[in-house]
Amino acid sequence: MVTKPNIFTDGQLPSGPQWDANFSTLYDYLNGNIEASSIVSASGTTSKFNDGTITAGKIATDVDFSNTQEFCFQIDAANDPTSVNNFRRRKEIGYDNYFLIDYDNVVSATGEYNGRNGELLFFPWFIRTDAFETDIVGFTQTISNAAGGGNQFLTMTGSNYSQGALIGATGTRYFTMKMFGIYSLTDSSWIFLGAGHYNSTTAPL
Amino acid sequence: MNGNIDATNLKDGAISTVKIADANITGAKFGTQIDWANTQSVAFQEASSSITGANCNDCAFTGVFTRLGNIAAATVITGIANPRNGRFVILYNPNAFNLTIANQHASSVAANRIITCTGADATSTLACSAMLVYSNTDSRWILLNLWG
Repeated sequence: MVTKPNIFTDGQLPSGPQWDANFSTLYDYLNGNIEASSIVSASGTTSKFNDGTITAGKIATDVDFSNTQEFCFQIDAANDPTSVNNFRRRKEIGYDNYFLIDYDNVVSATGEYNGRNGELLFFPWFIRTDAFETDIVGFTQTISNAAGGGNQFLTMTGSNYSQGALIGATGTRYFTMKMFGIYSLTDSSWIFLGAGHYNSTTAPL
Repeated sequence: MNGNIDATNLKDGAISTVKIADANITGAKFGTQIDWANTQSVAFQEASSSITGANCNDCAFTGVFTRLGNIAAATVITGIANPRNGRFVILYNPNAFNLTIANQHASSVAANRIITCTGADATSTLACSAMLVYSNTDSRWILLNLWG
């Protein structure tokens, strides 16, 4: 409820200058703090929402995404494959390198990444190597299975889950890996939904 | 003077964060692309299920993400109720009992049945997770993944 501005007294007929001087105050009083009940249903259109506006904690209804539109998770194009958060890691490795990523505890017990109730997690990893000689190249990732109580993963197999390859290679080689998870508030853990990896001299589509 | 305000009365960008109360967005469809910034995340809040075992026909799961925490025996899910075009479901069985996702099982009504894409039932013998999406064209749930 807007507080009535006590600009004019009862019975006062404001002069032109008085009206002009207080117009903004009166305008805001008449038009400000408009409540939802004053807005017709479905009045809010695309252009009326500031970009980034929708931050309501929950959407309380079924939501359907039209089949003509996409649903996208914007990627973080950072180049560091040892950092945990966000969705995409890519690294180009020069020749004559021995390169191995062995990543335990994708989500660490120190609370590095705080899962929210039902939060989705998607890690795609892309690595391309250009081994000039017969270099040992490889990429392994281990998701450590833990009993919960923090930000650990439950791999659903009862044991750690590892994927990747360690090979001697020349020329260009491509590794990709993917992993999905969702956070269970009840178990205080990320639930492993699935994973896969690819290792070839052919670039993935 | 201020009631029944229509879109034409609102400035572009007029509706800002603080004007939308929690749980107030009730649009039936988003008619535009939705891009989640890489500083934000999407969460489907966890629901619980009362099923305890045996066959679950036309299972009524709410929301997207359901924890099957009460399963105390081998369980067969033959169908999921309330399908909708493109509805997405994640199931999580935390208990080490067989969970079977049945392929085209007649115990559920046709529209609620599941296609596993292997022609056969899909079974996990451990705690497991599963993802499904509903195909309106096929009037069936499509099993995307049964992991565990």
